[in-house]
Amino acid sequence: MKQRLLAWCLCVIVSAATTPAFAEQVLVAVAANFIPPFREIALEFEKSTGHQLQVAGGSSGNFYSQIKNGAPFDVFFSADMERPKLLEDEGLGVKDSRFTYAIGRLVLWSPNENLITGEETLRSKQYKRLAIANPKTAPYGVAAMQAMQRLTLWDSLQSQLVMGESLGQTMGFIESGNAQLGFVALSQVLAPKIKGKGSRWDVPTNLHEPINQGVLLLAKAKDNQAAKALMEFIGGPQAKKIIERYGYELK
Amino acid sequence: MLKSMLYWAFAFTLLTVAATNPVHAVEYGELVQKDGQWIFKNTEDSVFKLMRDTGWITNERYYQVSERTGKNWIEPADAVLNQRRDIEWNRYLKTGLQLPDWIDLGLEQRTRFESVDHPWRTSQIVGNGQTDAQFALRSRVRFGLGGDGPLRFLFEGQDSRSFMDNARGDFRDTTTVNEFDILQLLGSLTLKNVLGTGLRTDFHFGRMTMDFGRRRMVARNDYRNTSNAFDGFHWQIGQGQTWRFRGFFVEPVIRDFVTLDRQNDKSLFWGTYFESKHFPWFQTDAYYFGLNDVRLRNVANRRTYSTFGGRLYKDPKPGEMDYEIETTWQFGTRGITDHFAHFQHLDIGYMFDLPWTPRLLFHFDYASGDHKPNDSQDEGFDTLFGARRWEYGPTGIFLPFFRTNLISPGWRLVVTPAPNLILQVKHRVWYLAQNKDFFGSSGLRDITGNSGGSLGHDVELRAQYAVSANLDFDFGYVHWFKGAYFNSPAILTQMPAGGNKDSDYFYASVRVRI
Repeated sequence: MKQRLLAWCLCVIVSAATTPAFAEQVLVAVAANFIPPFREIALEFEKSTGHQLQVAGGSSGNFYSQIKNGAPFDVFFSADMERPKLLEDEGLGVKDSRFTYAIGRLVLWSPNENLITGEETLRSKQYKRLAIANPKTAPYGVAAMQAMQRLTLWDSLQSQLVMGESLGQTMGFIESGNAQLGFVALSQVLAPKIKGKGSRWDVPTNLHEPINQGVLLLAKAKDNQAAKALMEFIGGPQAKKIIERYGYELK
Repeated sequence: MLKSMLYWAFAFTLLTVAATNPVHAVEYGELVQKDGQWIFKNTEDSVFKLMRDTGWITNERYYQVSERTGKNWIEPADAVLNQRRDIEWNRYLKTGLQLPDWIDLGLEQRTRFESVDHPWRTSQIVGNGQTDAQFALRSRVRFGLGGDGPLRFLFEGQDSRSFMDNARGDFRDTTTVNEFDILQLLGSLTLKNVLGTGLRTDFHFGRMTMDFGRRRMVARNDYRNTSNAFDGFHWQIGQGQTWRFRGFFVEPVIRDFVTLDRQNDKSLFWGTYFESKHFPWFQTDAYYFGLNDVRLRNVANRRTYSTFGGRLYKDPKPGEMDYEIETTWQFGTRGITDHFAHFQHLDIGYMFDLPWTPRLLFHFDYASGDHKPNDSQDEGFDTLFGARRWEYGPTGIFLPFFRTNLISPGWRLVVTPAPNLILQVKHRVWYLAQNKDFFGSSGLRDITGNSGGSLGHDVELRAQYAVSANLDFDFGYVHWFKGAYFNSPAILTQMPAGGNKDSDYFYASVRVRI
């Protein structure tokens, strides 16, 4: 009997020892372009704090409507600043918690190693289809449109454009060969699976408005210590290092 | 003493798991609304997650393997030869063994129980209307090298055997049994961007299995317990999902029950296949297959065919009609007679934009048969190396209907109550196209034609449940209402006793892949 008691006590002690005190759960909505770095950030965050993250990846537009319809997210990593601001204005976010966590970089990418040599590739039209994310739903689509407008190519390229509903779908068009090249996020091209493959042109930032990506602590999580810790962590040095490695700029 | 040892072993295991189990782990998924409530639905693979949570694999390794789906899937060497669903699944074994990306390792095992009554084949002399059952086991091992590199290698071994089929009336041949054999052993070269054109080309050499189009003429058999394999080379060039062109020259592998399968240079098979998906409403395939099979001693059965065909189709989508037309024409010689045959297929479907996305489908098949038994013309269509399961019914020890000498209209209803559950009901009517020719491969034939051509009709029920890509179940039942053909005196004398009575076929199978 004593032995059994001892064994169970040991179990409890070891389990308790491996459980960080006061761990809480955070439900996070993350824009698709930010998922690759977020995976690393989440690991670091978990190691540092012991809090548990539940992560949903998707389009910012979809998350915005889900949150408006009562989805219980704690933190929202958007691909733009507009949606977090709207949510804050509508009382669904914690006031003054919003900040820019990354500035996205737009690239023109093709799996073909020789296709893209620079801006002139776009003008040469040595391709059949060009993929971009839909400017109506994706901030990177807006940036791609602006870049083409400033290069005075927007109108002449209309017949060659294929639009993905999200950056993920846009990348899918290019990878499958349905489009020979396309505008995507640098973070996608720097993901381990694609890094170093194909050819790319990093679109100069003066060709489009900055792709500021905003994070917002949502009203539901105003007392959630773990969610607050995540907001702090994302602005901290560990996370910044990872974010920069994936090609984002920081403010 | 033993009890005490067991107890301490249990306590130690529990402690070890508790100590190594990271209590907190990031979960990935999506938020869905159900009955007015928002629920976090974990979309992670439960086995990978378990491996990670118990410390078997690291977090980094976990992210690597869980990312390898969809467009990030690492292609094995046979990716362009075979249907992707046949080779794409989570490699738990490979992950568990911490193998690098450039090594592929996988095991697959399928066990199926099947039972049929009232046999009708002439070879089942001692049938006597009895119920014939068998356990069919199919095991595969895949080992590949090369990862995403241009040069790759693949070995796939297959062991097919059956149990409970030793009675004299049982149906057993190399479609069921083929012990310890090499299904694929090939090398491949892939160039994903030929001379900067964006085109992809693949060259394969060795033993391989192949799927073409809807798999009516050449297939890597799925339901059947053994598969067709070929020795030779295959080449393809294409542009993503838009179009591709394939060419091959092979010797079909001759299967043997227990000894190693062999090549035979007296059986040659070659062809070209073009697929285009430029227009969703007019996706097209065009093909040519040549066959020169002179390995049989009986000269009358030697085949030298040219098969030309085309396919026009639209994929099903909710709220839209879809269709498929396939037409195939065969010329050449069979033995000393001229051969001219053809096969026509039509599907018209509609997928309702409703819960369970019901899809109603009308089928029509016509495969020519021989008009006169002893003239100088052979008209029986030869389905070459095609599969039949999905549109005619379960094969295994049952399916009587071949893509030859057949007319069959029918309908089918398919519903998907859940993404991983498919339910189907099918009803088809069967006739001989030519009353004087053979009925499939049953051996039954009335050269006078007086027995008519009414083979009856059948109703099939099928349920497929996939727990994941690594575990699935398949259940089916067919009742074949035999037609007047089987009650005619000329046919009755050729069949085992009771062969004219309706047949029931039932099967249940489970497939595990690791």
